[in-house]
Amino acid sequence: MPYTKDQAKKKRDEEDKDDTKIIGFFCNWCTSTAADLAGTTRKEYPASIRPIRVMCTGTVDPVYVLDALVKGADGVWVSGCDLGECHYVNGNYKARRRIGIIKTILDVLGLDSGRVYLTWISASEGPQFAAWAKRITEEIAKKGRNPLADKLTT
Amino acid sequence: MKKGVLIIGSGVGGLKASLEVASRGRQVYLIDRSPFFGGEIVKIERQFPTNRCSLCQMLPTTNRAEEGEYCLRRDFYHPLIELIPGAELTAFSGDEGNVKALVRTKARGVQEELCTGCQRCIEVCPKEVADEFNCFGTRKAVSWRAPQPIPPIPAVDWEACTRCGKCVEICPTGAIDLQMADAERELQVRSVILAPGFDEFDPSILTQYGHGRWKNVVTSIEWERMVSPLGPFGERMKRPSDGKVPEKAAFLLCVGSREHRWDFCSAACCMYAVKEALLAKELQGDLEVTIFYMDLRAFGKGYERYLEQAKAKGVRFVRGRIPRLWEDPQTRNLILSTFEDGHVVKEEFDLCVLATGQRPPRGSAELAGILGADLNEWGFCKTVDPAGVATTRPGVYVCGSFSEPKDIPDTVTQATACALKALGRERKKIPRPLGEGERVPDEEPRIGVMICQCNGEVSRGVDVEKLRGAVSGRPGVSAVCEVAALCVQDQAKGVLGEMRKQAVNRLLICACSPYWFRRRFLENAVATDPWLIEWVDLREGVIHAHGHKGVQQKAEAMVRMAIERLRRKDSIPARFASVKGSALVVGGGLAGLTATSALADRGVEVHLVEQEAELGGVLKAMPDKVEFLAEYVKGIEGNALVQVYLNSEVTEFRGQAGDFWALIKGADGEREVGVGTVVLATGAEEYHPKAFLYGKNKRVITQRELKKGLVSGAVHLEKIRSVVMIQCVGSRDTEHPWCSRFCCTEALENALVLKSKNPELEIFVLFKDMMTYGFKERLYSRARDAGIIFFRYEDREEIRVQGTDRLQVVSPEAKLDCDLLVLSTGVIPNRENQSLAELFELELTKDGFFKEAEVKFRPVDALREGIYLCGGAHSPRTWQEVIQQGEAAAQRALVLLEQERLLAPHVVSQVHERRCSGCGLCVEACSYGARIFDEEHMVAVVKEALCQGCGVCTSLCPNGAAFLQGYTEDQIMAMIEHAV
Repeated sequence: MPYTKDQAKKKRDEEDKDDTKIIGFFCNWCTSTAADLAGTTRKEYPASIRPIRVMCTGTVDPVYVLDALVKGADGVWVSGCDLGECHYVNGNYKARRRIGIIKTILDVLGLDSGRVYLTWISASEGPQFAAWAKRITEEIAKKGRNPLADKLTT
Repeated sequence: MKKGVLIIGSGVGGLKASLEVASRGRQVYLIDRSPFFGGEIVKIERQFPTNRCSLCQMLPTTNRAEEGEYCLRRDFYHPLIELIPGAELTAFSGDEGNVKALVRTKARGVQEELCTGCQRCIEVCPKEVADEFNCFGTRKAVSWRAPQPIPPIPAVDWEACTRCGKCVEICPTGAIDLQMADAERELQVRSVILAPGFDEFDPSILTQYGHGRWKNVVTSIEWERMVSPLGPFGERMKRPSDGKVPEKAAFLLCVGSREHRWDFCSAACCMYAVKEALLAKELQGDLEVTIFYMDLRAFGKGYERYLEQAKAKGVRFVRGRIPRLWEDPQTRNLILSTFEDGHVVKEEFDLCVLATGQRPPRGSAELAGILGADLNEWGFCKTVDPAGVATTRPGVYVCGSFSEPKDIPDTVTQATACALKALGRERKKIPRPLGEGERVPDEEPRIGVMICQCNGEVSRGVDVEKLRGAVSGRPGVSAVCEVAALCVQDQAKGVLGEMRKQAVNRLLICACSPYWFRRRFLENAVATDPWLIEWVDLREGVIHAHGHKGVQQKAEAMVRMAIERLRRKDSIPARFASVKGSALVVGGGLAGLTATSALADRGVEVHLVEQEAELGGVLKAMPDKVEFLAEYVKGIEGNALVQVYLNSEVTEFRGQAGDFWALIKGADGEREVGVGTVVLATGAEEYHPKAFLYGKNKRVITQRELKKGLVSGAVHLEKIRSVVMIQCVGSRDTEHPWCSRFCCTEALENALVLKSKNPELEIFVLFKDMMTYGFKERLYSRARDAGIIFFRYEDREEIRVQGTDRLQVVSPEAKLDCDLLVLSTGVIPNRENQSLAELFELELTKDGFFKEAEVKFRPVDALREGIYLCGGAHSPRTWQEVIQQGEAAAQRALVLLEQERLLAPHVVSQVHERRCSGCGLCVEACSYGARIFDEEHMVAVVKEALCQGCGVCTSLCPNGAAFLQGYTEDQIMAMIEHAV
């Protein structure tokens, strides 16, 4: 059985609750490899990033972005191959549109679309991945904790 | 098991050839004398004309293995490809079909089975040597070539190693053995593919350019490394002398090519210089780039547009080979002289890139000697067949730059054709195991968690006890184990035994990055369904990536997420799709005939559809190809497997790869055929000139008419004193922004024939850029030596032809009287391409030719699975290149046709039929044509064997009826919940 909201909250309170938590949707081909490379070459980046590997950013359903924010993630970072480099040819173009739409929807709902990032990071760009991770963590930390956290019940 | 193929060299050509051979179910032994695989392409992050990397597109699209779905720069896997790093061929004997090859593997110094990839040996090694990969800076004596190489095990550079033993001491598993001996191995194979690649020309011998003396003069590969994110200076775009960001860069083309000592063209330099310029401008918008060139050889598909793009982005092109450079000793800038408006001017640059040519790699002469393959005068490998892949030694084939300098699309096409030839004419149906895969009954998930300590590496950052505590007792987890080093076989076996005792039915491994040892572990964990094994990267993903803050928390979160995903995974039974073993070839010209011949010779039933009354296409009009064509046609008409439909067209078409249906309409009725694959070889049309008095004055003819006229006698050489040829008629202009590739060669061949018949004949060639790439450059030199005069023109519109009998050709550059004006006309897309594209549901490029799946790495595949492109339908090319492409298309088709059944991979898209509203959005969205609409039931259906597993269809389904196995909403949302 999954944790209930109370259990989850208790767990978070136990841990360092001020730590920013960012859910990352990284494509299997480019960005996951870059993330890996960052680690292999010891380019440090904050531990706030919780990566979820997907086959292509084109498969990231806008609902996942919303779900992540509703469940209390402070930010969502979708990253895939450079435009023109998608293993599936144009999956990332579709992601670009979809994330664009969800950001608009977030703003319409009065939520902060600035908490959602979309980047294109190529497989060799380990240092760039680390740099983006740092930047995104800093910017989101400045915004403070996600106001939705603990508010909604599952 | 039938004999496999030995492939020498693991660059683009070797990798592609290996994948092609392995995809047809044959064993590959891939050797490279370097301890690391990948060749030169690993140094080059992005390639023209897309300015992006797409190396992973070479991976098989059918029978995909999840373990093989990774960035091809970091990992390379196929169950039938055995990698033998650090190996060279030492002896070779036998005939095609039965070859004995002796391979000597240089001692790596590090035992692969024991290395955990911790990098400690590299850290402690005291000896530094020049880094030949990153070109600047140093590397250690024990090191690897680039971060995360293939294989991911460091190697000892014996020449540099001082045998101090520090690495031996520090290695936690004792993997380093400085006494390791070389090993020899005998391989019995049916044939060999030579793909040793090229060495970059070393320009330091051209002292006038100062490479090696002046720091800011770099070669093209050095430049690639300088701008790479993993480059030697930490940051990109810094010049070597002082780390300043360059503002003005010069590219000098043809360094080491196109001169009397090396009378050939390295084919790729013009284009890669443009690529490097464009990429540099992407990195730094205000960088001024000037390219100094002799001829802009943008002869490939899409290259002319690429060039226009560069010009539009402000890259400056200046014609003129730069004879020398000077260095300003204060600023370290480079100075050169060039022409501007007829005056000599001096220009200064921060940085100068020499576009260095290609050379046969060091040691290749000896290698060719062992193999008995003859080389040409510059050391490149000779080929003896029309397709250009067979060497002088039967059973030995060659691809890539070693046969002739070339770019990536040509290398990949050649490598594909090589695979076809290397496998001979064996007929083989690749069997699939019958019956379903072992299915775990629908039981409660019982996950066994294995935490690998990585010999203490993991506990440097994570409190393993705490992690263990956080994991045990979670729903779904039934056992937690720790192990010192999971990559060590004995330890892996031990812990797996433990897991089995606890009746575990899913495994969660917390260890290093999956790039490292996931596969090695899978090989050890034979009894478990690899689908039910989840991998968490604690080392590269957590400990090495982060400082100390939040590491424990993240490690626990990652493990929790993985558990949630794994709990929701069920075993999937094997599912198969049938494959019709026949092919449809549309178009009976050279490309179609080649493909048909190649397929029919290998037991494939072929339906060859030709629009005209005879086979042959444009070849029919070539007087020197009459016999050649006759041979081909005879072979095909005599082959019982080939059904030829003349005066026919395909009027209806539908289906999926493995199961296409086509309606062929001919003069004598209709015929329905069911085929597995389609080869589109509908050709291109000859351009009919509308200018230069063509059609108005009988002295104006095309090159083709000239050739015919010389044979038939219609062209009376005795009456001709001077000839003018005009290049690029109908090519490289606004209406036709492409190079037709063969016309310069054709013109020079004709010109040389004319001169040989009458040396007194005056011949003038008006040209824009002379596209004599590769060894065709020789034709150009010979033509000039023969006294043929070349005039460059800037704008074809400025050339006027006048005269009623004898002609006068007038341009800003010259005024020429002539008796014969020959127009070098190219080709234009077949006028039917649009309707053909609609019929076969294919795309056309902006120029109107058929669009391939990926221009560099999948050059003959259409994006729609099961359809292949070759010849003029694809793009203009020479007749030898057409043959090579036809063979490559046949090879690609055979990969599909030889499968008895196609196995559906695990990561595929699926449909919840009851939720499907039949809107059809997903069917349209699938780039691969893997989804179809079932009209009867009004639902979408997935053709699993064709699905590439991208999941794009899943996120657009409005009802949630589409899901991707392994990445379901359930799984992802559970992961999200436990991530926070």
